Amino acid sequence: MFIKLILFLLLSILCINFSQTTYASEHTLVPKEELESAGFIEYESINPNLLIFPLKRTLEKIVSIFLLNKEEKAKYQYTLLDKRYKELVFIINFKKTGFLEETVQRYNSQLGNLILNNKDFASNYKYRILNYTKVLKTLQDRYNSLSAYRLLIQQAIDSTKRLI
Amino acid sequence: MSTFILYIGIFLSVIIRVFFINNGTNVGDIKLLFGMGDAVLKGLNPYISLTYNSYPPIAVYIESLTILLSNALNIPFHILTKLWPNLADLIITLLLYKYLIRLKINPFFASFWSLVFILNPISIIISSIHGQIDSIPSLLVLISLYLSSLSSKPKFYISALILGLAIAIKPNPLMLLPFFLINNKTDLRQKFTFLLVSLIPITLTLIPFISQNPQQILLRMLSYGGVHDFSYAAILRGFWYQQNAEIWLPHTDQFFEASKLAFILGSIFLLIALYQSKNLLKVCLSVYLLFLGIYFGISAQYLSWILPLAILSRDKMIIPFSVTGTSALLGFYSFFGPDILFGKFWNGIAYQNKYMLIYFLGNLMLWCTIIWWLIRIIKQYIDTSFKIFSLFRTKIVILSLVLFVISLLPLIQMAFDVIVKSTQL
Repeated sequence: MFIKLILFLLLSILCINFSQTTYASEHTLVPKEELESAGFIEYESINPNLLIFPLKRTLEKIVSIFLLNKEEKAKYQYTLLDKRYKELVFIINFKKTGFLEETVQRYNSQLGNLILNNKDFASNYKYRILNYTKVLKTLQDRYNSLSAYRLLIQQAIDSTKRLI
Repeated sequence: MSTFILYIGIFLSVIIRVFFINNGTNVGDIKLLFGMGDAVLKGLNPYISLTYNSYPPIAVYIESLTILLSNALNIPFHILTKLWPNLADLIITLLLYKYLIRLKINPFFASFWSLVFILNPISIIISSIHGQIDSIPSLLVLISLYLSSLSSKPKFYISALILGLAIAIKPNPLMLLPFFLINNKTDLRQKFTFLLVSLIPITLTLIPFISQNPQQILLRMLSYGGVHDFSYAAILRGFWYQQNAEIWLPHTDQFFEASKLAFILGSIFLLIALYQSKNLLKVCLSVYLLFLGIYFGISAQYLSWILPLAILSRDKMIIPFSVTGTSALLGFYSFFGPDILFGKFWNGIAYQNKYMLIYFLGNLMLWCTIIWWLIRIIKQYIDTSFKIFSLFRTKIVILSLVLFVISLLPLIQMAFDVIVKSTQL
């Protein structure tokens, strides 16, 4: 009975967590249409503000351990970069600035990892990565030039440019 | 053989505790404890001069003495101040063993249960890592309980005095006082004397401080609500954190007020339902569980109150409580104060997103365990005793339960609001 209760509570929390990103997005920094026209496709379903986000990261680490082929590993690293980018866009656009610093660091760290180990594959993803800078610039322009958030986004843009 | 196992366990615990004490740093509550003791040594009134709430006078004197010893022996304060709670933990272990033997428990099981205390991660974390002094009043409560209800020759007034000393170190045993009074097999005059004797230590030790500005000091003491770091407050903080990495909840004053009322009404229900219960130990345990489960301002060290009482009553719920409590504590320190937990080994920063999940899940499981345990104790008692209640008492018990449940409604409403708001973008 006790275990059932715990399981029920955990499942309820997971449901609440998952439902968050399906809510209407009325108070975003940039309207959805504008982001789409800049080349942004969709958000991640689990974003850094959610309690279950560390579970997603743990799962990613487990998957990467099981990838032995170098090419597959590199491909997976670029998939992870795409995830970090989508999470960053979510955090900026939904004005969850409390999470911005950590999210930018996570994105930059993934970029750094690729620059150090898998830069040769970057040409395969050139247009996609160029698009990242375009979308991030669109979001950055909504902050004034003295804003700390603007600087953090600039760091992300600069790091992205180093990859391509 | 049983004492050999006990001493081996104690030795092991001492090694673990010394390791943590030696690698701890001067952070968190240690600084606050130093401030209290230092104020007295400088001739200041800690109840006026400090920006935070000071503990009752005997605790302040203990810290003053620690500062003097620290200067004389040239041992850092943050090491020396942890000596007292750890010493109290050691005495609790030996007393638990002795009391369990007197209760005719097999010596092997008595040493096993005593080791559940001294090797308990909650006890080690609170006394050796956090450096909180809650095990000193817990030791006094244990002695007082034994003298009052478990001993073959009860010594009520000594029990009252020891309970009073506990109150003069930390105020939490005050919530047990009504239950000591109603469950003692004494007449009204003796109960009144018990009450007076138990209030002597706090009154006498407060007089030198309170005489300076009674109104301000009393108001400050009574208005203190605690910090909402654990139990359901922590669950709500976990939800609220998702909004925008906010670590403090909104409308906390309302939560404090509503939870105070709910706890008082819950205590009244327990007072009526458990009146003349033969097991004062379980009664005290249920009061502490009610506090942990219902009150909003639960701090880390409050978890340690449960341990000696649960072990002396040999309640197996101590196992899930210890597991979930340890998870909650690890999550709490990792997120809010990693320098407290990791001491000299810590080099990073606090408030890292990934630890919030441990804090949240640990507290969720802890709170479920507490509520489950509380309901279980009450249900066990009601199942056996409800039939022999008079009609009048039955009605009063039901009425007090209904009032208690009604008092929970605003809390549920506010908690629900926080959850709903935290899941909206």
